Amino acid sequence: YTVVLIGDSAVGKSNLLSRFTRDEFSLESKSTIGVEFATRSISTDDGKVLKAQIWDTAGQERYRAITSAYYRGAVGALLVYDISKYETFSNVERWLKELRDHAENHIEVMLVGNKSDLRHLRVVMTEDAEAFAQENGISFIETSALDASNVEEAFSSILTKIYEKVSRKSMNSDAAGSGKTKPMANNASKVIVVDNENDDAAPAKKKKCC
Amino acid sequence: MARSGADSASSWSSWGWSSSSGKSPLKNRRRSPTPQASALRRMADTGSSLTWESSVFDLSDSGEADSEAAGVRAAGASAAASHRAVVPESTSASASFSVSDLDKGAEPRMGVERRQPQRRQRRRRRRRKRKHKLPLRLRPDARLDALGFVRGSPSASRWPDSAPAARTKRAGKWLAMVDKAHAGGKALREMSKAKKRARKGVPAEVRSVVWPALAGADAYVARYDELLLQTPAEPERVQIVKDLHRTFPHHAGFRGVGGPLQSALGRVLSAAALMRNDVGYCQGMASLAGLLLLYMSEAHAFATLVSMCDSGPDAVYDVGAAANLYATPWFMTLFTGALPGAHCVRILDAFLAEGKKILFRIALALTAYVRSAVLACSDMGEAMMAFRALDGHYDLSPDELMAVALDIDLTNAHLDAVIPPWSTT
Repeated sequence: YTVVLIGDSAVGKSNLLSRFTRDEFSLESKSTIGVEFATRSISTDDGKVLKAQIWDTAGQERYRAITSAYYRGAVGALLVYDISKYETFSNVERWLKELRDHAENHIEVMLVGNKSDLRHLRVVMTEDAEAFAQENGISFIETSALDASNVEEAFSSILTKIYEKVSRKSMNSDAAGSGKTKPMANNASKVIVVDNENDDAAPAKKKKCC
Repeated sequence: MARSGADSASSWSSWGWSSSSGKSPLKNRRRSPTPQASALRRMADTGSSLTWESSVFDLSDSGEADSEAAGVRAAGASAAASHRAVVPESTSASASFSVSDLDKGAEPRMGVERRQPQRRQRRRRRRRKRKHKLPLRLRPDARLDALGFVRGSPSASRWPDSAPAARTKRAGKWLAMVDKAHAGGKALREMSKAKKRARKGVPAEVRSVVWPALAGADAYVARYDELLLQTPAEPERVQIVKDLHRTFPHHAGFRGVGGPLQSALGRVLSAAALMRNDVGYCQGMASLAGLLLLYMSEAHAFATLVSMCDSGPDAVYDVGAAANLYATPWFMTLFTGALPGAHCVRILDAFLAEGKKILFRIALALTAYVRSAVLACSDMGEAMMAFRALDGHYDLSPDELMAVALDIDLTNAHLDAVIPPWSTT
């Protein structure tokens, strides 16, 4: 699955990514120029292995032309803001619009309040962000790339949601014949989903050996 | 610990760039009518920039408590207008006495007044001494490479600079060429040997003179002071501040929150953003400006940066904005994101002398370097990772890289064939 990380500059997108894929965090990181990329595989409850391909984008407005090209193939987006900087939260709306303009219609979006370790500097209240997320029908979580809290949860929850959405969709398009309620229940247990074009009507599955 | 932090902070701000830079262009004009003399002055200036290496290193390592306050200062300082007020304040706050006390004419504290003349003399003596030293011979620090990057970090060079004797010989040739160009009223990059010599590398000692001359930066130097009185538009100012501590996080002068060169960087970037409204501030400029600041005064770094953005169709940021996925950071930062500092300065030497073609040569050389790894990849993402795996794990020395890059058969006709569809984006 292709997931993009978007949000204002310096909210910690790159560190979220490095925490999730390499379990690393660095205060000495450089600004992202253009886009960066990393992958990681996680397994779901029902034993499926999901391979996430994550594009980390530059936050500065002027790179929008380059970065928005990566929204197109994405099935999920983590919209990151910094709980200690209010303007990064007020810009979330702009980012959502950006996604609606450039990304697929069914993209799964999750609002992520990063830097939750900076409790004493908090300016964005959890309730406000929750309310905003509900209003816009997206999920919400607070994370800290620094102390690793909720980072794993954020990524696995969005990936699981995408997985469910995609398999539901593929079930539907497989026609009513199978009539299973549990998606992909009788497929081989070793399935890795690596397809980028998951929104296709065709079953989004590929057998691949690791 | 706090004590040593305060000491090195004061030594930086009273000796280093920030206190002198605002005024240095004026001084240059008054004192040195000939380019040779001004060249020497700038060499001396460079000396002062590199003396802080070791002391600064201590500051950023141990002065954790101080650094947050310094961060706030740096942030304030980058609002260019206030720089003169901010720097002296910070100096007087952290040290018992400083030049800025004299400048401000603030009420001297008890006992300080009497000692002033002595201190001034001592300072003068130290300055005179510094003038005759070559920058790179000053205070070698085993933990830093020749440019000041922390050894073992991705930006540090694992290769020695060329031999001092060779550098001195080349430095002489460059200075003579600068003079000759000036006397003949020609631009330095038009001199017949400039390109050839730049490809061999400009000696570190004269980069402070040669880079601005190659870029044709002189016209802009005088604008710096005036631009510092203005503040760029809010989003740009905020972006610049955000990038200050993310530029060269492995360099002794920039690392940590409020690293000593960060406030200078902030001023240079905001002045450049103001000067070139159309280009504005672009992430990626920061490390380029940072590289310039390692060698020259703020005013000259600003002027060089602006004239690099200036060279019409050759503009760095034109090319960069159109470059594709993996190469974007290469072009946008002139490779500072991917290669050690020592490689980048060599690339910049050649870039200033001959223009954008060298960037494509280097990009091709790097692509060739990762060729087999990239070809083994099954999708775009993996290929991207193969390209990024380069960072910090590069086995060619600066000389070898230049040799490979210059060996590539690439002509302007090749570029013209590729670029037009790009630049329409």
